[in-house]
Amino acid sequence: MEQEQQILDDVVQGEYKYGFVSDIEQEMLPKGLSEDVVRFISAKKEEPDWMLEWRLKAFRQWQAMTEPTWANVNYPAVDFQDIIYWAAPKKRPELNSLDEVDPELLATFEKLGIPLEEQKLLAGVAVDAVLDSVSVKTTFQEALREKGIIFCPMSEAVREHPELVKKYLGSVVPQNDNFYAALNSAVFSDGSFVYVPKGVRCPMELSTYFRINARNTGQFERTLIIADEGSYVSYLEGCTAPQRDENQLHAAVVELVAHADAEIKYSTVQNWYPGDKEGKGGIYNFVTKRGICQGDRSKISWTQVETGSAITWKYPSVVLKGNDTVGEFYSVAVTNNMQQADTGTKMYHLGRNTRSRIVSKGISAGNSQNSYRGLVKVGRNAVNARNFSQCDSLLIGSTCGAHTFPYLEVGNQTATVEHEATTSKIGEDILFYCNQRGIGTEEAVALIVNGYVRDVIDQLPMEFAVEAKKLLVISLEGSVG
Amino acid sequence: MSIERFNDNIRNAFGSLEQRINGAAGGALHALRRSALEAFTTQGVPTIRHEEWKYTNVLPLLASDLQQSPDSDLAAHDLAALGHMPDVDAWRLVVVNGMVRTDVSTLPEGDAAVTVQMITDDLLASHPRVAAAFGHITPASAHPFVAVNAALTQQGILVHVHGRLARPLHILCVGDARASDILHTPRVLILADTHAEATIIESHHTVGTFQALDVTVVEVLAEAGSHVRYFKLLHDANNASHIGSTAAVVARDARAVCATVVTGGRFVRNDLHVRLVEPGASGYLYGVSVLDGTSFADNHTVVDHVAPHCHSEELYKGVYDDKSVGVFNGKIFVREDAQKTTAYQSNHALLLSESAQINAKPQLEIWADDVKCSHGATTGQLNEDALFYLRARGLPEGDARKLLTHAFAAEVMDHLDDDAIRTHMVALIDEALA
Repeated sequence: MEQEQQILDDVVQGEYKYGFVSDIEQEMLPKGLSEDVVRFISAKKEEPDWMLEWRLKAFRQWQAMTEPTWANVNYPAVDFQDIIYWAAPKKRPELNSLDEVDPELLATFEKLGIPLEEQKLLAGVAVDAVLDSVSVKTTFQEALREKGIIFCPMSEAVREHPELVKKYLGSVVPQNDNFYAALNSAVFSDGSFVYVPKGVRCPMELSTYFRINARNTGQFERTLIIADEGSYVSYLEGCTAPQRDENQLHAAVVELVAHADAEIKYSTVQNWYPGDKEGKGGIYNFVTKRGICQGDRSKISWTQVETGSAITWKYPSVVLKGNDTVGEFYSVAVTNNMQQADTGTKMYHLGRNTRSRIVSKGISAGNSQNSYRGLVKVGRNAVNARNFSQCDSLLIGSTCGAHTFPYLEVGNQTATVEHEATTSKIGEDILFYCNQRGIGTEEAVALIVNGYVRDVIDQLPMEFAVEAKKLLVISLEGSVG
Repeated sequence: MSIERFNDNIRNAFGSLEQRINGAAGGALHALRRSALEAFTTQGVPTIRHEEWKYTNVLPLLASDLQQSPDSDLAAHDLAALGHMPDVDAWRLVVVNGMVRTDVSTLPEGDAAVTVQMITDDLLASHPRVAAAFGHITPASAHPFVAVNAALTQQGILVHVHGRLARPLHILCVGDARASDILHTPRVLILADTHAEATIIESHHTVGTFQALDVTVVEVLAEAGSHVRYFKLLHDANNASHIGSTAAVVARDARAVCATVVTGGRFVRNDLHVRLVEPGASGYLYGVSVLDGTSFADNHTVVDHVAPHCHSEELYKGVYDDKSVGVFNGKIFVREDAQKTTAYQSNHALLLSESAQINAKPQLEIWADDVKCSHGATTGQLNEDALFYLRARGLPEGDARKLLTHAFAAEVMDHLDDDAIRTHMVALIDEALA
């Protein structure tokens, strides 16, 4: 017992290891949101008129909307007038090499372990690093350009590729989709834009590291990925954030469009500051992620490892519109201390012979609440739709909660939908078995948790899988006895 | 429009009930009604924007001008023919439009194991357990239609089981809709004393061709070591709608077995709520829906594990043909103190036609760590291998399908230990599948 308590205390009292603040000169707007702020952001980014109009339309719709409250999470109301909607590192003259970049900024990346110039060849990763709101460095542009792949900050895409942005922006997540999507549409600062042309297989994993850096700035990223016919792209998103006392709002929107025979693989490792052990501070992560399998035989796969944020509230979804399309969702959500997560997925089966697979693994510890909420909807014409869902919860400690809210709506007789969920703790018999064979309790727990999440971790690209495993160890090391 | 009229009808019905009882309007019973009316006014008619009614639209039901009509002159021989169960030798308690018909009820006399009586102000005053249970196991504030029932209950019936009940008690809720669209609100409280054992059957019937909505509330208190079997049969006409709420509180080492069979009716909404409040309590919930035409059935179940060392099992199946729509919502709550809980739930549906639909929402909410809980939900078709097996042995495809569909649905009833009732329920299922 004593040992268990010691182990628990270690974890519970362990401080956030990535909590540091970079002191970079920043330019920011005063707090608050109004039409002027939207205009300012648009002007600052030198956007064309149509983009401003698009933002303003979203802003007006947002004003008429009310904050949703249905999620199984509790938090003090967000004061949307108490947020800074624009913060950017001061603009510098064009840089030719890394040496000209603010060393402090480079040091920040160093701490985060982002492979930039030096590591880019080794890691084979092209990095579009986002510090607060402006993309400061984009690598591998040339190698990608050769293949015709566009991988650039959203603000650049708006200027350089307006025809693509106009066509696809908001096509998967419309401006008025939900409260936070509308807010994002009005004030989104930057994000990544990816276009993979017909028949091209993207030669490397595309990666963006997000950082929330300035105090009190909400981060409103907007990501749009388009895979044209027969193409393939794998995109990695990962984040760490410095320690903060006040809650920071993150309301990103991610849109994926897969045309015929295309495949998009989107992986996330999320490790934002979860707040201290009383739940003070921490990030609110209210994200809208949705992909559409537009063309026949296309595939979209979401993989996420969520260990951070005070509150996680997101449902990466797939609209299976084309025939023979495939949607996948693999998730590990870990909550500890006072963290709350309400996450899951939505699979809309519309085309014929569509398939979806959902594997969700929740781990709750401390005083946290972890919810899976998912929807599988089979439309009238979705002949031979097939879904399999598995959502398991692991409980560590008696003060946490695990909840499952699956919705299954089946409107076609040929559909086969299966859902199963289990909730349990790590069995004492299993631990005993390990102990007996000389494996310490802590080690045994790591072993069991590792096995438990393996289905999901296996889906991650190799570099990410390593980071994800590290994160799980940090989050849960020895927290069961 | 229709909501406003329904609200007016409820208020008017309450007003005329108040006048009818005249002198008793100051009593405890009427105080319950009055607060229930307030609870209904606060909650209002639920729409599909309400999470618990997301798939269940009650508005079409309210298109009819539903009125209470407590004075029914249904002939005794008409009533005798209803709900006949050839193999089950049960006592019958007949409730027509919310009023007990003693002339056609066959209640035990001189049998010490059970007493059936009306709930009155005097009873509430003299019987603290009844007062603590009636209107409290299922509070009006929890559900808008429970509030409707509680506000308009004319005769609450107390079934008090003292010992081991020799025969099942069959409660028939009859709606007399021969003259107009009606609303009736039967209400029953079942009190099973320590170590008592009882089998209760609840069935619903509608006579006449006008629209009938019955809003039924049944409360069950199963004291320590008791064993209550509760069977609910809904095999009604297609002008009949039912919104029923059954709630059971299960004490130490007591056991509640609830089975619901829905094989007909225009609209059915069943709320079944089982609370396991002391260690060793167990709850078993079974359900089968076999629907065709444009029938609609919604089974909402809640198993609430409040105390440690409790066990629950739940199995619901549905077969949906034509344009029928099924809904299943199964919640399992495991509260903080309910360590060592085991709770299992499964729900399976078979769609037989292009336009049939099933919406399922199994749900686990768990706040304790030392538990074993699981749920599974499937929707699919008959197993092709099994079909092939049967056809290879000479069964025509149609027969093979029938056999497998029967096996799929009737299997749920295998969990019941009362042969006569099981046989009757399987017969109902077969009749619906034919």
